[in-house]
Amino acid sequence: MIDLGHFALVAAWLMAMYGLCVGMWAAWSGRPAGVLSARNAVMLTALFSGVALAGLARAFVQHDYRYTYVWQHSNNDMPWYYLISSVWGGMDGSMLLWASFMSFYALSVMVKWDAAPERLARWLPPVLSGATGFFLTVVAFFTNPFRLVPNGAVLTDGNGLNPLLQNPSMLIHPPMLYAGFTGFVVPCAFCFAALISGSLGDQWIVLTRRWTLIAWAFLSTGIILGGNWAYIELGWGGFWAWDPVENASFLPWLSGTAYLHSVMVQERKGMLKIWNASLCLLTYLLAVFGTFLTRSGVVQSVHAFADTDVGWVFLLYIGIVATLSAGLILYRRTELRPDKALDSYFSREAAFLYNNLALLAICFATLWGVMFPVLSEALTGQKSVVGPPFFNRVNVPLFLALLFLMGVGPLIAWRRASWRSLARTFAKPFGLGVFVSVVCLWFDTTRPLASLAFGLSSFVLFTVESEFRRGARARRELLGSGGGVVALVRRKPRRYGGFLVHLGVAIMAIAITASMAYKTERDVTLAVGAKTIIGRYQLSLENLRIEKAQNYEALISRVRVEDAATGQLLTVLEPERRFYARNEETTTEVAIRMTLRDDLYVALAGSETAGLAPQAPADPLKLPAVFKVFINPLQIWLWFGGVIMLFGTVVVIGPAVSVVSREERQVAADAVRS
Amino acid sequence: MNRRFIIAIVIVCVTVSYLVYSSVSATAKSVVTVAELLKGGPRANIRVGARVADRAIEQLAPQPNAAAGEGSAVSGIQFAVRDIQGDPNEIITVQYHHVMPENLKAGRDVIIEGQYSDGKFEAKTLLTQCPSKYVPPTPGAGSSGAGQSGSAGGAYSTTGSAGK
Repeated sequence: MIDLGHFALVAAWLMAMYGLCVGMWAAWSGRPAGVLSARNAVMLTALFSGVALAGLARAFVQHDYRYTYVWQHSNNDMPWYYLISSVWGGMDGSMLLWASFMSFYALSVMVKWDAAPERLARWLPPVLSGATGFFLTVVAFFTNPFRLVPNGAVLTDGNGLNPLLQNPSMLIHPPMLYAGFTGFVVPCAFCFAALISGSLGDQWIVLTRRWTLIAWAFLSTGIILGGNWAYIELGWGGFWAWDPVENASFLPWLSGTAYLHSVMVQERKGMLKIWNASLCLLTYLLAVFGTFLTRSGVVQSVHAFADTDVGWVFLLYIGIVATLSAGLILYRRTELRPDKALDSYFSREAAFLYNNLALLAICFATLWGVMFPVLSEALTGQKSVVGPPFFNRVNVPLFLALLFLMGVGPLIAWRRASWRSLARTFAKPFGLGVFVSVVCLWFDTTRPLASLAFGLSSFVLFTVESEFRRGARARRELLGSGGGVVALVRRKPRRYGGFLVHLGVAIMAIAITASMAYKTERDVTLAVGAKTIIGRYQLSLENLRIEKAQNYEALISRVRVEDAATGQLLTVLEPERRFYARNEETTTEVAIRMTLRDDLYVALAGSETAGLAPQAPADPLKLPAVFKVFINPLQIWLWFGGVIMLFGTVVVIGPAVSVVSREERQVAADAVRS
Repeated sequence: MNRRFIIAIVIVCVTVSYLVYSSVSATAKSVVTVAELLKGGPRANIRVGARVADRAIEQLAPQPNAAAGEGSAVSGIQFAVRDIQGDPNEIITVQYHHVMPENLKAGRDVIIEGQYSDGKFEAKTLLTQCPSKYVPPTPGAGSSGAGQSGSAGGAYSTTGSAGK
């Protein structure tokens, strides 16, 4: 008996192939009926993918161990929400999730395609079907989650999901990331369709802006959630390790951010057309490349799925798409010539260009670092790796340049900015930024880069503040009354939402600088009753106890935290260590005290067995406990900044309602009368 | 194509290339195997993928914490590793002056970074492999309990890492 889910997967694949072939033929020969048929195929692909995904989820929730994949990643003890997240807990299901999300985006394009010029729109079904078709091919033929258990064995319980994955972050981080990655197929498909059809007006950029922003928002959220997960769950005290898979998600984000900015130049000035087309396609390719990195075993990573045979298929796809993209752009290069030339190095167009160059430089450098083991071995025979020191050394200066541009860019004039206009707009924020830098440097002369970073971030904060203030004042002068910041934002969501995003990023920059420059880390051994002083905290171990849960046994420590100066009790933290018998896995559950000023982060690393005979059985309750303690200054501001950034993005995306207030109507009416 | 545009791009490319090149030179680590180490002389700045040998893991005397005495020091560990592919009896000794990761035992694969001389490896970082982390076992091959299908390409835990 074939499962509905499996059947739907095959049906989805068939629909995608139909959409690709019939769509190409219909678009090429100009058959409206064929185009419509292909469009329906795209919509059916989404429907069947959804059914397949639901079918897999059903199998997990109902403990259907006929399927190898279900057995490998779940067991009877798991609650329903982790069972659902097990759908993407392994390679096969995550590939199906990816393909499904892409097909849903394709569906949304088909629903809204009346807005696109017909010459372009007719190519959308085959292009979208080609993209979803590739991923459905991978799922259906290489990583099928509906594979049956060998030898028809009847199993009553499963292997269980890796305990490290059984936490709330697993429920949203991968879906967010995938919704981000796959979303870039929309602008990419429009770009392809525009290049193929020759319908190269700027409408496709305007049409796809919202999708691009939505994809970017999901990707940003996914990355930040990943950092949060690493921080709270993994116990090494940090949130970003420049791990290859982390970098893989970062690369399309970087080029996507560059693209989001440079399209503004094309919209207003008709410049950078080839640049934007290339960036659009590059972002999609980097997203696919990212998933290739995660699944092929090409580079080693804590996140990577196991080595599979799928790697070459991805490389082939990337190669084909890259070749087609380059070919199409070359073919259309005369139609893509800019309307204007770059007038001055000191203009907003130039600032956007520098922004793009900085982002792409970071992207290239990060890619280089990720691929370095492969490249070094291929070129020199000796495999070499680079780690966080490399990435920090290269990327920190580039990020600082970006911070500067974030402050300058939105304010500098188009075409050519005069020194006078620059001075008028920037004197105060720049002066304040310099002041902040000097103050930081005065307090700590050993970290000039950190002082510079704090100064630049403050510069951005002050420019945002001055822009809001200026905007509010202009409204007041025009209308007689304010309405304040909220009305300002509603009136011009793109501009002021963008400022909010920059504000969020600047706050995150401050938090990251504090974390990189001023973090405190200690390994400490405490017997029960002992105390130690770290930074402004005094920690003492009150007791140790063992608790048994359904699938693990936990060693829990009770740590009393007091203010080192006053002795006041601040809190009690209970970091623990869990041992999962089934998988022979140990995980650490960190305890964190978050304040606006810093995070006190305590991880229980184990028991101190020095002085014991080797291999002697040790009772952890009687041994001193070993802790890793971190003090992370301003850490919480990283998350606050992320939330502000995302809120700003929502504002930018949000309903494009031009809110003309009653006061504005009154002013307009008065002007007409007088 | 606009000349100013191209000049700007070229300047940025040159600067970034230089930045990347100098950073690689300063921070790159060579990846070597235990077998290669045993054949050669002292090396610094290397990363080794190895397997914990079937010898006892010893505690080292606690070293006082370099960062200003709050009293408690953390002892380190000394253990032996062998080449993953090669002769199990050809081992080198590894010293690691931080908290021992709890899943460190004979047969587990590790990644160590640091320097080597004369049979002894001074490890600055130590990562251990989680068993069957992302290479799930196949069902029916002795059902319950974790099967070991860990390959050299498996995933590594970060919980035991990070010396400075």
